[in-house]
Amino acid sequence: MTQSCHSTGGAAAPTGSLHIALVGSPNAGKTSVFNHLTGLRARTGNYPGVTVTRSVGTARYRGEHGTVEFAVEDLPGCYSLHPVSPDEQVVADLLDGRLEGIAPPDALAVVVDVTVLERSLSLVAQVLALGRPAMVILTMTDELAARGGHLDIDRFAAALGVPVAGVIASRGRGFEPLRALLAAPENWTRVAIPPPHDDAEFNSWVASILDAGRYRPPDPDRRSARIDRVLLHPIFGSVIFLAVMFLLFQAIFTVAAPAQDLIEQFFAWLSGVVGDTIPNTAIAGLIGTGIIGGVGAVLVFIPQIVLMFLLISLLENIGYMARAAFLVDRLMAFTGLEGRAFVAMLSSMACAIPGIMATRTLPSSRDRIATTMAAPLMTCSARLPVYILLIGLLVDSDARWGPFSLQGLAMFALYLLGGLSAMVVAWVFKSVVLGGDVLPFYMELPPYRFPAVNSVLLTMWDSAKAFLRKAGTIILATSIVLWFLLNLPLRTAEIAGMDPAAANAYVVDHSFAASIGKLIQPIFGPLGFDWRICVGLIGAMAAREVFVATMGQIFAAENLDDPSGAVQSAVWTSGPHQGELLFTASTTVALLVFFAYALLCMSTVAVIRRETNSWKWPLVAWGYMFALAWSAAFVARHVALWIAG
Amino acid sequence: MNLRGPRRVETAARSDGDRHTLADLPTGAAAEIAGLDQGAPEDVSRRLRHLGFRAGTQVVKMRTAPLGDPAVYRLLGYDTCLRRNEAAYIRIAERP
Repeated sequence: MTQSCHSTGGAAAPTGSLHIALVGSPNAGKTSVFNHLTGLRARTGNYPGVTVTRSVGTARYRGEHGTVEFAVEDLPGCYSLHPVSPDEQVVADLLDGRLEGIAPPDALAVVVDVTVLERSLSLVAQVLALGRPAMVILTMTDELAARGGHLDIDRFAAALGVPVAGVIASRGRGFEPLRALLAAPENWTRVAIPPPHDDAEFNSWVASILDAGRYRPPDPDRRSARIDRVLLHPIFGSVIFLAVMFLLFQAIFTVAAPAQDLIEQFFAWLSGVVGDTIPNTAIAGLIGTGIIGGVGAVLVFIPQIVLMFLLISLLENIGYMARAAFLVDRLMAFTGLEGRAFVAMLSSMACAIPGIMATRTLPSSRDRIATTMAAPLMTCSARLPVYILLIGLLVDSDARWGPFSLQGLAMFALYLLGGLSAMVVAWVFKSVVLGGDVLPFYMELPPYRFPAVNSVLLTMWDSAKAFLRKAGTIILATSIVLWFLLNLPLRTAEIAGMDPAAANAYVVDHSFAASIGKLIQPIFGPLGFDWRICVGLIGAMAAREVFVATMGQIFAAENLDDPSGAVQSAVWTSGPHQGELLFTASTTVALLVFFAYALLCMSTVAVIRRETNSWKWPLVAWGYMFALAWSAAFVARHVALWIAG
Repeated sequence: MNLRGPRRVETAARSDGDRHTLADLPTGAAAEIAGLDQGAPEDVSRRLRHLGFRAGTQVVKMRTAPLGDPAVYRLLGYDTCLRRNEAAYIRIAERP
C-alpha cells in the first residue's frame, strides 16, 4: 500500500508547475509523443481507486528566457470524452477535476493522427468545447505526404482557432517548436464559439475546417490492403493466425525455458555454495533456500515476461494484434470478452504471470479484471510436474485406450478442464459479477507499420521493472516465510546422525508447517487429504511445483524430484484409516482436481495485486478458486468412489 | 453462452421492419448512413456517432471475419470493426 501511494505521489506533477495533459485516441501516436517530450523521465503509477495506469513525465524547453520545466501527462487513450468505460471515466473525471488529489491539467493537447484527421475532429471538437486552453498535435505528417495527402497546417490552425503543431514522432522531428508552444499555454489562441453538436451542423463544421486547411485525405494504404488480403483471408488468414499464436506460445516455452533453466541452475549453484561455506545449517538454509531461492523464484519469470512483451509489443506495433483479435473475436464473444483477450488467455497456458500482465493491452478495465480472474485456471507449466506425479500414481504407464496412452488422455482432460473452466469463469465475472457492459465493441485496424524499436524496448523494460518492483518483493517475502514454516523450530540435536532423507523428513514432520497442516487437516479431510498432503499444499503456496519436492521431503524419498515410489507406498499414520494407503484413486483424483482449480501460486497473487493495484482482486481470485477447488475435488472424489464401487 | 448478443440483433432488425442496417450490408458494398436506431442505448449511439457512424457518412463494408462476426468498415479514411450487434443500430440508405 505504502509503495503504491508512493508511486502515485511520484507520478503527480510538482505543485505550482505547469501541467499539460495529452488527450488522444488509441493508435494516434500519443505515447510516442509523450516519450519524445519526456524521454525516460516518465513515472508510472495508478489513478486513485482504479485499475488504470497513470504516466506523468517532465519535459524541458530551453528558450530565450531560460529553461521552462513542465509536467506532461499521458492520459489513457479515448475516442470520446463521454465515458462508457472506467478508463474513459478517468479521463473525464481528471479533466473535470473530480479525481481526488489530482488537480485538473492547466492545458490540453489533443494528439491526432493526421492520416485520419476527418474522423479525429470529433474528439478535437469535444476538447475545444471544454473551454480550456487547448492545442492540437498532428502526428504521422510524413505518412500523410507519402500517401498523397496534404494539409496546410497554418490555415488549418487558423480555421480551428487554436495552435496546431505537426510532428514526425518516429524520427523525432518537429519537437522543438512543439516544446516552445507547450511551455507557454497562456499565449495560445482560444476558440470563441465551440463546435456545433447537431450531426448535420457538425458535419459541415468538419467540412469547412478541412476545406480551409486545403486538406486532401491520403490514398488508402495499398500495402496494408495487400497484406490484409492474405492475413484476413478466411482460410490463409486463419491458418496464419494459428501459426502466429502457436509460435508465440512455443516461444514462451522453448526460448524462455532454457534461460529460466540457467537462472534456476545458477541460483541452485549459489545456494549450494552458501550451504558449503556457512557451517551453521539453519543460517545456510535460510540464506540458501529462503533468500537466494526467493530471489531466484522472482528472477525466473523475467525471461518469460520480457519475451512475452517483446512479441506482443512487436505484433501490436506492426498492426497484427488488432487483426488477430478481429479473427478470433467471435470465439471470445462466447465468454463475454473480446478478441484482444485471446493472447492473455493463450499465454496463461505457459504461465499466468505474463498472461495477466498481457491484459494491459485490453482497453476496458472490466475485461482486464474478468480475464485476470480466469487466466490462472488455464493449465500453466507449473502444474505439469504435479500432474505428472499424480497421474503416474493413478494410471498405469502402459494402460491404453485404443492407440492412446491413458496417461496422455488424463493430461489432455486436465488441459481441457482448465481451458473450459477459464472460459466459464470469464463469462461469470464479465456478465454477472462485474455487471453488463454497455461498451460497444469497436477496434481500429491501423495500417501496417514498421515497429519503432525504442517503443518496443520501453514496453519490455517497463513490464520487467513493474514486475520486479511490486510482485518481486511479495514473492521473495513469501519464499522466506515458507522456509521458516517448513524448517523451524530447529531440530539440530535430533537429526544429528540421521541419514539426509530421514533428517529432512524429521525436520518437516516437526515444523511449524506440520502444526498448520494438522490444524487445517479437518478442512481437507472430506477430500481424503491427511495432514502431510496439507503440508505439501502449504509448500505449494510458493509455487505449485514445490508440492513435488515437499512430498519427497515429507515421505523421505531418496530423490526429491521423483518421489513417486515413496508417495505410492505412503499409508495413513493415524485416525480411522491407519495403515491404509494414503493415495487411493479417489484421493489422487481429488488432489488433481484441487490443483486444477486452486490458486496455489503466490507469484500470481502478487501479480494480480500489482496489476489491479488493490488487494481486493487477488483475495477474490484466491477465495473463489479455493471454494471452486474444494467443491470440485469433493465431487470428483465421490464420483471416483462411486465408479470404483 | 452469450445468448444476449444474437437475440438483441433479432429484436433490432424486427423493430426496424424492412429498413436496412449496416449489419445487412453485403461484404464489399458501400452505403451512406441514414441515422441511428432510436432504440439503441444512449451511450452506444453517442459513441458510434463519435466514431464517425452518423448521418451522412459514407461507409464500405470491407470484409467479414471467418466466423461471420465482426466485420471491418471503412469510413472517414480509417478502418474499424464492429460486431453485428452494434452494426444493426446503424440505418443505411444503400447507394444505387
